[in-house]
Amino acid sequence: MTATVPRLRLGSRPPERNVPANETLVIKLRHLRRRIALQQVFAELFEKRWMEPAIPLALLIGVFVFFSATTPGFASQENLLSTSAELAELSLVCLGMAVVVISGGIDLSVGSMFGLCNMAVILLVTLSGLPVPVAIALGLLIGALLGSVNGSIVAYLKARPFLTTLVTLIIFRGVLNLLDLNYSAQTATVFVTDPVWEWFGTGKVAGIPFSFVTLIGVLIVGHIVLSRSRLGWHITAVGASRRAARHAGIRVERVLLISYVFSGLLCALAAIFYASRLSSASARVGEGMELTVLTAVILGGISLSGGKGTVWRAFIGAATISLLGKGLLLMNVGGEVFQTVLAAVLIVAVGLDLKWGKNRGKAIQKTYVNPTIVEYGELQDTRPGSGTPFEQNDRLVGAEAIGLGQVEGPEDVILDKQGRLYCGTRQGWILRFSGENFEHREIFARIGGHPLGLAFDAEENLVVCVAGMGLYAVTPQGEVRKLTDETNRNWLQLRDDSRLRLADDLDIAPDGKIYFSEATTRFEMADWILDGIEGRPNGRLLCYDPATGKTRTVIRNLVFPNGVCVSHDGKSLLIAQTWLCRILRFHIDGPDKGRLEVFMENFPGYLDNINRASDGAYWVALNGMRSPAYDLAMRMPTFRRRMMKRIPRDEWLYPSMNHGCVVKVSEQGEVLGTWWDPGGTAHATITSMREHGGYLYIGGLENNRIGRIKLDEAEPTASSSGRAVRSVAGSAAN
Amino acid sequence: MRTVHRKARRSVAFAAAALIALAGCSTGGDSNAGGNDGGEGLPPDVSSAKLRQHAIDSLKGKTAAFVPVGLGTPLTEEWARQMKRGFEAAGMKFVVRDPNWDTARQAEAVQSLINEKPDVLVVHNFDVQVLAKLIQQAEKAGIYVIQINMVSNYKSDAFVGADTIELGRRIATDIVKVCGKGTDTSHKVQIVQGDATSGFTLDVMAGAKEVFDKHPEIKIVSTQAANWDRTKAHDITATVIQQHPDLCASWGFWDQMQYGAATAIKEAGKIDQVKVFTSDHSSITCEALRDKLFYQSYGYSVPTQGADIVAIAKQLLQSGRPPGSSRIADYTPLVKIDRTNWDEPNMCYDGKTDGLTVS
Amino acid sequence: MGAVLAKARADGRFRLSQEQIILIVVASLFVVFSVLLDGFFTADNLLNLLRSVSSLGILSVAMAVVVIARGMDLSLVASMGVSTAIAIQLMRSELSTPEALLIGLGIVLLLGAINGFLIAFVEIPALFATLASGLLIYGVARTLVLDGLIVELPPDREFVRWLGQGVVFGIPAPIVIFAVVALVAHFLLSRTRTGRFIYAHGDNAGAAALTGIPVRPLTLIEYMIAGAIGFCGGLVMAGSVGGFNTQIIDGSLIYDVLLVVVVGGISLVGGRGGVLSVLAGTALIGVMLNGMTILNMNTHEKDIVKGLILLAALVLDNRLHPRDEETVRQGD
Repeated sequence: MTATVPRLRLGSRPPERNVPANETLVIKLRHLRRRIALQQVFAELFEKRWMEPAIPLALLIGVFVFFSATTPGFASQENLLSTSAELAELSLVCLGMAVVVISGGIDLSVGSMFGLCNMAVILLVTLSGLPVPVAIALGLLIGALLGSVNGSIVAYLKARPFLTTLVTLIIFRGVLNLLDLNYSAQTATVFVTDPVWEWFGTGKVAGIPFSFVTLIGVLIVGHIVLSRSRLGWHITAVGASRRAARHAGIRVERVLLISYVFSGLLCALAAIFYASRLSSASARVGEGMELTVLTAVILGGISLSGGKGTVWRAFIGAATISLLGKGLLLMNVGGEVFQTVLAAVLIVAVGLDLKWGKNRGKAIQKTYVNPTIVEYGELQDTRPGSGTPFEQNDRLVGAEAIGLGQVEGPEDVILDKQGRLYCGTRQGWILRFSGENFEHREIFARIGGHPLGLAFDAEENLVVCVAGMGLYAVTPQGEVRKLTDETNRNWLQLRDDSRLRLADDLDIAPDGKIYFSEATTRFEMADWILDGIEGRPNGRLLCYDPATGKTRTVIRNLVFPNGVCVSHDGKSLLIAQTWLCRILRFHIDGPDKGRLEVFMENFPGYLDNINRASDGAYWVALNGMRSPAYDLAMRMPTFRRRMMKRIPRDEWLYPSMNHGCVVKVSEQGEVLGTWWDPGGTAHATITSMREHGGYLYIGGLENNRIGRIKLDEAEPTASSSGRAVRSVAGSAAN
Repeated sequence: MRTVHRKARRSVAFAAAALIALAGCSTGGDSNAGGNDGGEGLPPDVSSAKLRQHAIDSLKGKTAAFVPVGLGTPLTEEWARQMKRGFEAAGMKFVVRDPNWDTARQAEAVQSLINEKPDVLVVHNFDVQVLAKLIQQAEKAGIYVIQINMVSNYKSDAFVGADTIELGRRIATDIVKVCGKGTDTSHKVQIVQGDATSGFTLDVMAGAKEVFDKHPEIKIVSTQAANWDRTKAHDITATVIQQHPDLCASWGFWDQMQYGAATAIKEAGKIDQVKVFTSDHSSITCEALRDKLFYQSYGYSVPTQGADIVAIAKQLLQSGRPPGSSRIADYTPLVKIDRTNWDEPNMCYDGKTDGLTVS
Repeated sequence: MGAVLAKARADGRFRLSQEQIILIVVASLFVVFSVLLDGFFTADNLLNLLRSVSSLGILSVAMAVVVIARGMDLSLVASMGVSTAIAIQLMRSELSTPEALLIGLGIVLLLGAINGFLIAFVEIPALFATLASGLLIYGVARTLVLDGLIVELPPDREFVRWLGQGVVFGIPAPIVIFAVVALVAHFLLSRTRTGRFIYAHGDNAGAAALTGIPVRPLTLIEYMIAGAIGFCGGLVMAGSVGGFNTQIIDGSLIYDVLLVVVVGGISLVGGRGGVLSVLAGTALIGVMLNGMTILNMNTHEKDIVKGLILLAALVLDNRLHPRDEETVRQGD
């Protein structure tokens, strides 16, 4: 018993393209160049969810590395420690702004609130004679009050947040100026020696400034509140869609008010640290801070459109801006340069934030399909009277229709021992037709996805490839069981391909292993045709071993592997590649095990399923025919790219899927015969056929029926529905 | 381009500093071996070559840093210019950090300089509190701190600047002369301060109070802080002149700022009636005196202040005394500039050229 | 439908336009101040009042153009200040006055075009775009172009001095210039195609685009017009003070401008109001500022009062011309 899944032998693999007889180096290089797909890397990168927070983080690291390398003294411990105290204050304010922005608002008055709280706390500490803890508590209260002023106006009076807070900025600053005018001179000569005050200003926990330690605490609490609590969810919901939030019963006004109060409170906390650190009762404190904070928050990746963001992003943004400011200061760059840089960063960040938020999906979609060169050999003539093996005939015209109008999209058909006919439908069902003329229709199983490939295993379980879902098994009683929906991930590429996206066709080897193809890992079932326009090796061959329950990728990077069929001797696997119009043979047993070779190539149409015929030959379905124009288009990737960019999707050039045929090929790779339905009136897009009891059953992805014709030369007892080499099957089942 | 140069210069300077530090270690060892208590302990009979060597060694490769409240004004530019010239002539490195009129950034700048440990730190305090703790830290870290013109609550090794209390007294006295008892005026005076918590404002106000307390007839109708900002001074004064059309004098603590007040008074058509007093002597003062906007100003020898700082820094560096142990105050001469003498040479400075004569 | 229309018409009979309300308020304030405040109702004070608000009025006309088009130019003072300062700095060189002024105008037009581009093509909300661009403009000018914070106007540049200090038939030049600017802007907005397009743009940008108005290029033009008008205001300011202090850009002038526009009745939802609203707003703010001055308020108290009034005006504007609070976009 061969327990191991065959591995592809190194160097035994034909190129994943049609190789012309007299290929020059130039053509080889062209192919090589087209294989590299930077655009695809970008598209896949930006599809990643972690990309959004990753960019600000990368920026932060970049800023840090840049200044560490260029500015002496920047990365020194002292500098970082003293920066951390300043950073803590900025971060706290940024956090407040972040909460407001997440709730869909904006708070430009943070600078004035910061300055006013700073002044208030200093006055309370120096002049009022109150104990320091009381003064600090009062300072926080003042911050919350200021925030609630903003909040009430924005939430209950429904004023525009931007302008409202811009005006409260002026009002708060005016109050601050008045306090400064009347009282600050008196504070100038007072030295506060209260230990609590000292601790707030210069205290250190394990060498780290107390303010930074507090910040970390606030960040953790903020994270929990924002992401785990009801209030946090409400804030996010209001920011994402105010209308939906209201309809969901959230008290929008109150949530808005609370978010502004948060902002005021955090400004006050920051101001307390600032006040105790510098004791500067100046009217200038916090001037222009709103710009810094706004830039930091947007740079951190908190979207202005609201409903999106975390406290960590606010922190990352604050750290970036803080380090940038520090670095510029150390580089002896003038203060106004920093302001200018900030303004420029703000414009770019807001522009990117809005443009990106608006166009992300479109941009990914536009760059996702990335055509490459696909070459074809000379197109064979199929016209009647041409005398070629593919000459058209009318052998399918008289096909008997089964289930006409009762089935939708029977991609694959199969018959069981009792001669009942099974097929998958677009609705996600497996239908069973029974009776003399298959007039009895029943839903055998409901799977959910569109069943594509079908095969029976030794226990008469129906094994099904389901689009978008994976590999499933249906017991004879109609119970559905998942066999597998994932495989080992390829770590060499960004896209996570461990999930099965489009399992297409399967066959079961004599040892019981289920070999199945996944046509493409890049496109969903609905977009399978885009894979054809792209023409890249996105598919793979997988193997599910029922004995171990493991799934492994056997051959990756195949161009749309579609039909899979175990050869009559059970030692190799035939794989039909739709867009390359060729059949591969993969040896799964015997001396050549692990070798992959081209079995037949240059079909005049696009291949779909393959099945064994009763006479030792194979049936091959052609779901569409090549045309000179499309062959040419496939040779011109830039043309296809331009086509996709410039014209609407329904006017693109697609591979012709309007009619096809069934081909019978011998074990040696000769065409034995063809069965055509000219014009595709009854059987367009033939995707499968199955020989059973002297009849050939025909399925099609877009069809509304299953066709049946009598085969003159077939042995009436043979069936292609069964498994190859039954004699071995019994042992493999164990 | 500029940064590249700066970087190159900086790396060269660092290399030089490293070399000199090595050399300094060896000479330091020598002097200790000679039993000298620091530089000041050089014996009187020391050879002139050795004295010269000591002076050069204690300066060469050292760094002086200057943190003004903001560059871009003739005052701070002139200081920076004079210091750059003086320090670099002495073989020292000179760096300026510009907080651009932002208190927090000034504190940050000083904090980062403490980490970098220059040898001399020249600060221009925003207010009496903001740098107090940091100056203390800097001296603890072994940096000589010189304060310029606006003093902090924490007094450091040296102060260079106008005798601000005396300045307040003198201007107040002059105002009393033109607006006080016996004059045919309303005795109303407006005061335009800088930042209310600035050392300069506090001292000048203290000096003024002494004088005005003795002259109760003087009515201070408005005392507002324009935060050294010309526009604010203009706005404040435009209001005040409307509220008190019979104002006698307007006194602003800085010429750059007070120019705004003067223009506001001129706009109100009262420039002949209201005497505009101020201090400092950047070129705008001479121009304003010429244009009869200002009545008089007191210069405090700003170019000399820059040079004085260099001299005091040199002294501190050679003295061998630990930072924080000296208390030098260098008050620069006060020069009255009025409509009679503004066009004399060197009355005003513009932060760019030497020997300026405004014509 | 008919009923709704009838109701609206019936309402209209009783309802005064916002400008009219403002003018009534101005008149009553005027009367109250004249009676209560010493020195208010004197020719000197009134001329002074007018002169002191004329540059504010000019800037407000500039702002009105963009606000009518549902825009906002927070960089107005910055672009005005930078272009004026550069023009004056050039006047300190050998350059002739017209050349310097043309260069200043060119700069302000360029800045307006940049703003318009950011708003129309990059689609950044006007508030964000102009908030940041204002700081950017100022910062770049300060670091690269301007010599210092303050540029002095050389005394021999008579024309610019005249703009600020001259007298025409006994009326100070700033007032005359304000009147001319207001007239030109009024003509532009109400009598030209561009003006009608600007109203259409503000009223409903989507509909304007559908009817074939080139909304994006129009946005550029709006911000350029605003910049150019602002430049006139800047010259008046520079002329009257004999120089230009670029620190004004950091000041609260822009809020005064906003105050005039919003209080005057140019709704932030766009498409409403006109130059008359600016005049009404300027009159109200002028009288108010003057009154506050005579009431012995200092600048900070004034700032607070102005802020409160602006806040009330914003809330009121929002009540009178509500927007869809539920689907509103950030920065609207």
